[in-house]
Amino acid sequence: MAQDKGGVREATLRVLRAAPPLALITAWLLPGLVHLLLGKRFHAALFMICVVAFFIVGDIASDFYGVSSHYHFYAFVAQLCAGVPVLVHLAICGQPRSETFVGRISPYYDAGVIYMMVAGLLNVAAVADALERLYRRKQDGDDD
Amino acid sequence: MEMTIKLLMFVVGTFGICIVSAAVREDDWRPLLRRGLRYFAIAVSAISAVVITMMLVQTFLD
Repeated sequence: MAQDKGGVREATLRVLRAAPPLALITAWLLPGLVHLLLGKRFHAALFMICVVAFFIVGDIASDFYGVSSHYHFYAFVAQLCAGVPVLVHLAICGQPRSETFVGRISPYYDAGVIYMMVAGLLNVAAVADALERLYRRKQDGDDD
Repeated sequence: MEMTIKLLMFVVGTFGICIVSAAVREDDWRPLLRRGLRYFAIAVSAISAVVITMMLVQTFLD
């Protein structure tokens, strides 16, 4: 059973190493997954918890209205980098309309938007680290 | 209350950024935490220095 898991892991890593765009999309969508496949459990947990927790806290702080390509486009681009959390948010909550904000803006709205931006930008760092580790292992052949 | 929560969010956010930045550089968790704490200390010192300088400049201008 453990050998099957190891085989699946190695096969997945081979596929990811053979297709860099696929590795990029996987690392972007699911923060920490590539680290987990590489056997870096602590890094995987750290990246996953940081990105997802930052996004959820930011979303709650902004009353679930903090993702908007219309009101703050550049923040939206940074938030998009967070991967699955932002896609789930867009699927469930959508984007706010102008009447959404009438008379009820959370005092923590700005902080929430910034938190979600930070989640996305941290995921960019996590993706870069994951890809670097993925291809460094391939070139150097070190099995840490 | 509002300022306290915002300050807490700022501290936790800064710490998270520092830990993730350290994770990119280190492989083991112990040196990672050490490096993260060092980054955090540097970040807090730098931000405090900027804030204090701004307050001094404002006092001087007033």
